[in-house]
Amino acid sequence: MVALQLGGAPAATLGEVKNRADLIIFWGSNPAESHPRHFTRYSGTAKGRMNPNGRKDRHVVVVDIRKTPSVKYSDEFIQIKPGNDYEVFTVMRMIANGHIPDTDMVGGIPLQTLIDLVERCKKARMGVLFFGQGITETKGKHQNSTAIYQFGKDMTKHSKFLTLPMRGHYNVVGSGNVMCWQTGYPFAVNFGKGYPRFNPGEFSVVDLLLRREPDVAVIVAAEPIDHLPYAAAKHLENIPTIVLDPRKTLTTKIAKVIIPVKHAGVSVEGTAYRMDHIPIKMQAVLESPWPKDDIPLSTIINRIKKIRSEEKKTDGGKAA
Amino acid sequence: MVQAKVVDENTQVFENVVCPFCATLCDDITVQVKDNKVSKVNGCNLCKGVFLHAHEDWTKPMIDGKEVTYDLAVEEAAQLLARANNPLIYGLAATDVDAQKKCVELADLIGANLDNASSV
Amino acid sequence: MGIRIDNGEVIDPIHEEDCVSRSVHIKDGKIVKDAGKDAFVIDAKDCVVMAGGVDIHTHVAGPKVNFARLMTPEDHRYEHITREGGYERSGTGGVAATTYTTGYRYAEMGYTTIVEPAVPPLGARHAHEEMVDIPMLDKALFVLLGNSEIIFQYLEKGEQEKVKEYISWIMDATKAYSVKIVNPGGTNLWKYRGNLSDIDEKLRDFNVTPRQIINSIADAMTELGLPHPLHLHCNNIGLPDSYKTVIATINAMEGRPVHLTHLQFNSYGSSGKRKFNSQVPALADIINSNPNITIDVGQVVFGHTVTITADGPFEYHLHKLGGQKWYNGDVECEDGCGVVPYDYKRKSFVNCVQWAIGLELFLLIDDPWQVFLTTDHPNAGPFMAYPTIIKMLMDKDFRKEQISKISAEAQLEIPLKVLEREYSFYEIAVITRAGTAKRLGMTDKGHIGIGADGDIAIYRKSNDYEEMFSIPAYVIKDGEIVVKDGKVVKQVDGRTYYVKPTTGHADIKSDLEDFFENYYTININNYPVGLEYLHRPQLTPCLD
Ligand code: SF4
Ligand SMILES: [Zn+2]
Repeated sequence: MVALQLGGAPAATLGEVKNRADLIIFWGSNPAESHPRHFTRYSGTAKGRMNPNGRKDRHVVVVDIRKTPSVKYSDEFIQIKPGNDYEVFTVMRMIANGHIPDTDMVGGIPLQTLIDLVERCKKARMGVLFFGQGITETKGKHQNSTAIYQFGKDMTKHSKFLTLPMRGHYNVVGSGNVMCWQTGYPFAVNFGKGYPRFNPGEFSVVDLLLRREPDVAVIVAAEPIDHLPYAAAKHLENIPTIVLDPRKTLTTKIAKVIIPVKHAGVSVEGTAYRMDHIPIKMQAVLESPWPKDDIPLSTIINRIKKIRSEEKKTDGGKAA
Repeated sequence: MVQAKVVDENTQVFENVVCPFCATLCDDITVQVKDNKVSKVNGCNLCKGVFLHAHEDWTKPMIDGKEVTYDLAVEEAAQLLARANNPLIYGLAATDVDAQKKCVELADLIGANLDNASSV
Repeated sequence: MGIRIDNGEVIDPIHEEDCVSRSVHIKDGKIVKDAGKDAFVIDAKDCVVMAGGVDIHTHVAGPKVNFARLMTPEDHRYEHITREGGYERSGTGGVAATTYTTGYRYAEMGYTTIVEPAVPPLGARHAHEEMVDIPMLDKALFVLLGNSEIIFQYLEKGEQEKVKEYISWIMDATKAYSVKIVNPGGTNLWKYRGNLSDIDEKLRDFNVTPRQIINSIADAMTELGLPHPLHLHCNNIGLPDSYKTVIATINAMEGRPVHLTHLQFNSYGSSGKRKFNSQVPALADIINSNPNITIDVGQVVFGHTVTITADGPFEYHLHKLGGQKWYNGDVECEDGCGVVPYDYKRKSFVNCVQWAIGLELFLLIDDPWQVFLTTDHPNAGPFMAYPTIIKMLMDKDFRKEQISKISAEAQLEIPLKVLEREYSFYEIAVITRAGTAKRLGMTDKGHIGIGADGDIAIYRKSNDYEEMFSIPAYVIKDGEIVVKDGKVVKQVDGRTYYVKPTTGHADIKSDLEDFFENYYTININNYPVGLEYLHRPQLTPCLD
């Protein structure tokens, strides 16, 4: 996200990949386990306009620190040493720009392998580099993504080349979009001064919780107790935590207040944004007695406005 | 709007359903529902996990581990937030846009920190 | 309760009223004969009374606008608003402002209607979700079809009736108001890193030319009776000699109605020392003798902005010229998009010529009903600059002062330096509301006749036209006072306008099903955007 804010990226919707891409690279991403149908629907075996034979029309490369289950669907596996992505991308950018460094191995990869890979990228009708949490969650974080986007831009001088992140939760892209159009920023926003401020190191959830700053928490459709580092999540047990969730989770266990809601995409309709930013309307297949989550949120908003205006009245009374 | 096919009195089949699990967001899932439980679904294993267990472990309105009325739970939340000094709103990545919009509105109203799973 | 506006001077060009002293009555959201005895009275002494502004082309919602917001965090830091007065929501500014802030800023200039002109069909759901969050304004969107592979397939086979049926289907599926074409065919070629330079050049994957694309879509739109004609961003935008493409395009249109958008970006020649000059005199001549054509300007505003267009290859070109940031987002089967932050500099010869070209278009096109005020927000600059631009049009001394500040080399070359024309209030009303509303086919807007929407802007007369148009005394939306002294006092929600053309011209159901199966990644059943996505949906009838 920060990398996108800082530099942008060459991207496209996944149908472009299906229709035109003949080179697919999964870098630090293991779709076979994390996005099981990505390969068949969009990137690997999908048939499209210039790929009438699907898988046969594509070369698939997996770059990862270990032989993941995705490797067996690839044509080529390149093993990289953990934490070396930035270095490798830097060297690949050098190679792309015609500078061959004087070394045999980079990040555990033979230099010749990288030269061949860059050559493939240059010659592709459309090359696509999908990168996953294996990259964004190692040290270096957004510097890694920045290097990837920069590599994509460099490649655009030679071929059609896309760099696309493999996003996790089904509507994490929607949450970034909504926050962006209402606040200007896609995450880590603070309204403490009455307007949106953005500072990832300061206002992102883990940092806030580690500093034990929040005095009340509202958790909407998330599992921080399970997913956040324990040292951060622990703070939620010490403050009143309000949880809106259709189902019991480790987080509802520690909640002070539980507000049941319909399950989006299961018991109620709603919009979600795919990893390539295409919004799709979800259906409801089950019935639930509870309201959709925006309804209790609206009630809370209206209640707080009322409490505030009553307080103002009594304050005003005192002053007079 | 896509209509569910009714198989028998208790069974319906929904087609072109969107899978609310990962950001691949497949929209070609067929879901069979019997007695308000998913009895069959054709997505990947992760997708099956969502739908086949969707009827289990539903939450109930609670305060401090005790079941309360819905209105009371919501009122308690409002009271807590109206008095909060530095509230945090977190999540958003596994619900729909309407709820996400309301989360931002609430954060704006109470001067909260607001974050989603992008930063993790 | 109704409102009566007394003592003002009414400027309503649709009814040829030029500073007519009369009262205006508003009740139940509409202009009426008599607002009743209990009407709230606004004293508009020393004020002009106009219909609310109507912006025909401003990028304010949808996927690429949101990428522009995403990519300009540093801009948001410098400008923000808090929840106070009529503002129910806080927000951040900069050029790519947040949705609520956008609505407030437009209202505070006296605008009440806007068009988001460039939404790829797959982005329509997103655009509508954002438009719901833009308060104060009525809205509409144009759907992008100039690089539609479905249309290309029909064009290859010469199946015009199917093109027509598809346009009808896609407009309903996206809840659009009209159709825009951006770089016809060029954005499709960008999917291979290519572009095209001539309207008779063939595409790579399709045996089709830009000429065929624009003619076919324009004809279908006329036959369907869409209230706004083809809205066209020509090929070769931003390049020297792009004016030749405009002339070729106008000739290719053979008298069909067309709106050429942000023409400033296409009015360049290749003469002069720097091989870059204004060709407005030539273009204005043609427009002056072709009443089928309207244009909006896309006036350059010096300073920082962010460019966003569906013209993927153009944005890459801009990025290579020195842009640090560049986002590209091709859209499967449909179109593309690019985002590049950009600074227009008074020191830059090219930027100064671009700036002058905008003003030359305003001043050399004779009939104000053919030329509309836009900055192609935010491509040439932010819409917040409208009052300054109005001042440059109305006050030639101010304009000359501005000319004296630009690059000396440019000052020598620009045709602008000899132009003496000054706009009147009446002409300003045409280029900002009456003309745009008329061209959009929004019959309830842009005027103050009985039955019109109760959308009114009241401006205090001043010799400083910039101040005058920046701080309206009152703005009324749907019969309610929403702005006072240039500040929002009440937040309201607007409508979304859409059209639903006739169907049944050809059977395309199985074609579409096949196409979706083969080339899209979303199920055809999940593709259409339902009315539930629109706030206060307003169906606009097609013409017979
Ligand atoms: S079906 Fe599988 S791959 Fe598709 S969205 Fe669901 S979990 Fe992801
Ligand atoms: Zn534009």
